Amino acid sequence: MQNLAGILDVFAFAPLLAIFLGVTVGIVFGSIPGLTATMAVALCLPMTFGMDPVTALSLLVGLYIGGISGGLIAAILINIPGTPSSIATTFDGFPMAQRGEAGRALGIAILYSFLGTLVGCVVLFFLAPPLARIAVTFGSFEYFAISLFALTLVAGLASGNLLKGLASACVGLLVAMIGMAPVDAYNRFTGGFHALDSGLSLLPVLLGLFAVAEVLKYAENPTSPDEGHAMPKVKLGGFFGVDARQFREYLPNFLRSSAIGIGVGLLPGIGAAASNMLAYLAARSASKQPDTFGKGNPQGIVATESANNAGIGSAMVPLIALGIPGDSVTALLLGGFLIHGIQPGPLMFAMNGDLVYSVFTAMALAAVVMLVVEYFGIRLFIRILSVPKNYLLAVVLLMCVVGAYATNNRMFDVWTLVAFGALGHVMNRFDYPLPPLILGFILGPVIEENLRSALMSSRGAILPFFERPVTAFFLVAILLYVLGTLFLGLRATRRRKMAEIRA
Amino acid sequence: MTSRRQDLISAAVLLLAAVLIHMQARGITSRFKTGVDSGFLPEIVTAMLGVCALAIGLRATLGAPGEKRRATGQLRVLGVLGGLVLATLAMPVVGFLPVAAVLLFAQMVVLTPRGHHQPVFKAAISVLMAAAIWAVFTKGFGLILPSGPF
Repeated sequence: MQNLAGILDVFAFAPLLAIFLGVTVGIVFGSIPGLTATMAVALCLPMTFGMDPVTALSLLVGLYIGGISGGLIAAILINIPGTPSSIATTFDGFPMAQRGEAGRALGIAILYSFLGTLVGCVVLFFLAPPLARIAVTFGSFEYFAISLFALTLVAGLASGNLLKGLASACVGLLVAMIGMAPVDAYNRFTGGFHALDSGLSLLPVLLGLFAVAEVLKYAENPTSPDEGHAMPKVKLGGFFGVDARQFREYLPNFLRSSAIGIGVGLLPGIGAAASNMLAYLAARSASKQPDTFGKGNPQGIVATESANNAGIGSAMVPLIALGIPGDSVTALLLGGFLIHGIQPGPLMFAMNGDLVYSVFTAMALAAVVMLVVEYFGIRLFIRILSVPKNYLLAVVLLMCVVGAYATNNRMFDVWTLVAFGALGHVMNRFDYPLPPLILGFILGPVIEENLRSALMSSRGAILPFFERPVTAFFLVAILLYVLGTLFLGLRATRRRKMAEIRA
Repeated sequence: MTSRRQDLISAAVLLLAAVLIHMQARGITSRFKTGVDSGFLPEIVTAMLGVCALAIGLRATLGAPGEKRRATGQLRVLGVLGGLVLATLAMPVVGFLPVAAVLLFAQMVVLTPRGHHQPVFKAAISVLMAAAIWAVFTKGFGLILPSGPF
């Protein structure tokens, strides 16, 4: 009954409008290279302050789905992926557009984005509740180990440089420690500055790192407004460019790619950028005509767009079932939940069960809206692609200021925004990945609170961490991952040096 | 600046930060017999940050110099940041609307490459956008933005 109420909550005017607007704005952000789904969610978070939770989460979910899918437009039409999740879509999408099949390429990409998203929703619907039931039995030990595992994996995979990723995660953890400590409310690292007593607010930090830093990156090398991309002619016809025979032909590829997207989405840190490449490579390997890939084979588009969108639902599984985000966008969505006083995790099913099903429903509806809006509004999105970025980014910057200020109605948060924008820019320039920092900042309180509770219950003993199977498994996995990555890195360096000596 | 030099500089900054924060964390008085106080995790994290910084520095010292990177557009970056700082300073005094319009105009100018300026058009767009954002957030979402003396 509670589930039904949650589902029906979404079929009100405000949530439906939020989904429509979210998907549309998400597609706009996804389609413009340099603007991402993460930025769209970060910028729209302050708008949700005055909304009820169902409407707010419907908007955020719509932004996420629209943002990931929107990347396909620029990828196919101008050979520049709108988001990292559409990198491999350029491989076959652009050649198809060049030979006059832009409409068909877009149709296929939109259809399989939709189908991939639906597969992800089904996975979320069936996997999150049982996982949450298991997670209810978890205590401080398990939560500490799982959070640390997620953070370590993101640190290692975000940039491919484990040391820099770990350093970035440590900075995030330290930033999270500013203000009152959990358990004993000790005031630390504030420098006597009272505005820091309650710690740094989530939103200014997120906006600074994801939006302001991105604008600063663009400022380094702005593109000329005259550098308009020649758009190929787009004519959408038939059923998304696919007939019944082709649909059957693409089915195994779609299922395999969706499975890859789901697997990658479930794991923290890897993200849609990797899943679309993996799915593309798998599709090429399985094909009887691998030579046609990269030259405009529709199977390439089917693979990449199914995989990146299937990952959306599965990436939500750890967030909703455990309360632990696995990447930047889900970290922002966690922020969206927290802003409305909802703590995702196993207890959410008991305390806000209807809301969980509202989120599931909003995701499925957002997929349908994405299909319709993207298909019928494609010409509009193509026009938006030609709006000069200097105008768009100036507006983004102002929206960041408003968003940061709106967090607590104080200028201190705007200063936080500026500081973290500058920090994000410096980190980008010095090749330090940002996702571990943000995940460290978000997971910091969870890690510290659970570690301290666990150690207090064990009277400071470490051994109980290894007496619990789940905790022991994740801690050993962390150790093996870190040692394995360092070992492989050292071996690669040694081999390279040997090759240089031989040469 | 080469990537090696960048790594050495960043490692030095991180190491310094780790040492300073570690010292501050050690100064936190323990309130628990187990020693698991508010300085416990910061001490571990700063130690780890120090180790990472050392390893990054060591790898940079032993590794190849890496390719040289040209620092392009840094003046423009400073312009964007400077504009933000000035706007943050001025907003409580002057109010959101005028500062937002000026900030938008300044950022549009700064983010435009040389030879593509259309100041009148940009000014008009800035005023319109600032007013629209102000209206959406104050009238639509009920947020209170700095009003200044007006």
